[in-house]
Amino acid sequence: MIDALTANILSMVYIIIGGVLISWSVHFVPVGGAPAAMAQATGIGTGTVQLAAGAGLTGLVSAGFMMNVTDNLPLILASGAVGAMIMIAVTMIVGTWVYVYGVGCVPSSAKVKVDPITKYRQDLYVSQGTEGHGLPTVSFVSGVIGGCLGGIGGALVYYALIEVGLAAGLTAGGSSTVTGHELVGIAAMFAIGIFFVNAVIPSYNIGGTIEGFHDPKWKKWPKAVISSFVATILCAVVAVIAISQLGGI
Amino acid sequence: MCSVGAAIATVLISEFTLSPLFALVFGAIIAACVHATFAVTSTMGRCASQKRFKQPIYLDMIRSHTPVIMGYSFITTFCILVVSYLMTVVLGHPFPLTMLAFIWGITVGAIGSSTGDVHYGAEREFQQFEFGSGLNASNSGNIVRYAESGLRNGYDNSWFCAKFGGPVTGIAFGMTVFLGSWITTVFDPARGLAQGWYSVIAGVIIVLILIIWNWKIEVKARSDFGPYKEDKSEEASA
Repeated sequence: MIDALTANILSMVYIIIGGVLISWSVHFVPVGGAPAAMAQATGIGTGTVQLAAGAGLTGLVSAGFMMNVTDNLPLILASGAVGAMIMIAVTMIVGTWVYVYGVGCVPSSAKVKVDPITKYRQDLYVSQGTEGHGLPTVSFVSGVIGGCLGGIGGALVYYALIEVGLAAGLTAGGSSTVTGHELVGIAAMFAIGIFFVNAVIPSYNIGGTIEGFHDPKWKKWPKAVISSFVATILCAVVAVIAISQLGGI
Repeated sequence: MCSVGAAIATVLISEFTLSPLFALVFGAIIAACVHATFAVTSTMGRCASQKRFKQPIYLDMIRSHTPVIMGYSFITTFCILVVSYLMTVVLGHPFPLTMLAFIWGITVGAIGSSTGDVHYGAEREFQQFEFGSGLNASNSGNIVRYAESGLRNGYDNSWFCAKFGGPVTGIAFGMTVFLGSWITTVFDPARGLAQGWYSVIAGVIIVLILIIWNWKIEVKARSDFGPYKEDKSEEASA
């Protein structure tokens, strides 16, 4: 058991870096929770974990597909990042359609006076009593950065777990059956689990709503990242032992 | 829910070698039944567990809404199962069917919750206010209560959402699946490393286009709707 950990120390480092990246990425994603679903807060109208998981797991699908055909780590990470970025960008652009053409409110933020990217005044456009609505450009860009980091993190965890399994003698790759290879299934399962652990921890920091990297709450990220670091070490130990023993049985 | 359907379909396909179409339909039916169980138990459980408030449980509402909930659930689960099945078997994705269905289920939940919800939550309930005037938080106590015929109910909101909220959710999910796999289909990474990097570049370009599009919509909304007009009468009363 200890041999498995010492032999896969690099994979564990990858898993931990991935977990920390996921935790950091969640702070970038502009989620507004229930208030945003009523157009009373800036951001996307759903929960932090749901959205971060949706984006990161879509990245995991892309990374898994890429890993099927190549084992070039930068390319796998990039495709994971692109998959997550596409998912979150599409969700945000469709959210903007709904906010502008469906609800009829101007994308604006109440946390800052001017948009740091476009330099547009925000406070004049915020409806009375709300904390802003819709997705101004700065939130959109922030969300894309969040998707990118989350995708890289998820792909890194998945890559590391597959490497552990390959070292233990299991096989991965496409199989064109509905069940697939057992290593792919268990690695994806652990990657999703680690993703959820690290998506939940920052949500205590965010407390329901965050607008992006211009939000004052964003500055609290080191706390969540340190917590995630500790949590991911435990997850990594369990995952690496489980997968490496799977090959031995 | 998608995982339930996919797990049943996987068992039927791999262990009982049934036709995939039958297996997917059967899996979706079971998932719809599980969904109905959740719906009924949560409706009954909320009132029954808070018995001291003496709230009635409307059995006619359960009878009329549960089949609709099951119908929606069946359609959604079946479509996601078909997407996942095609990705696993035809496109050769390494993930098992159940895993893909789980991931797409989470994704469609995130998209539906973030786009579809907003539409009926914000638009449908405040139709007496001028379009484009923004939404005052105090409007929440002043929602539209009457439908085209009689009082508002769940069907009425579903009907309304089916016209804009549902389709945009579908477009968003479709765009995610399509754009996500299109870039690796056109620039197939199996043909070499360079092609893989082209697919990454294509994805980044798509994201940049979406950022610019969002910015254009923002500028248009700012010029069309203008700054928020303060409600003078309300300030006076406050």
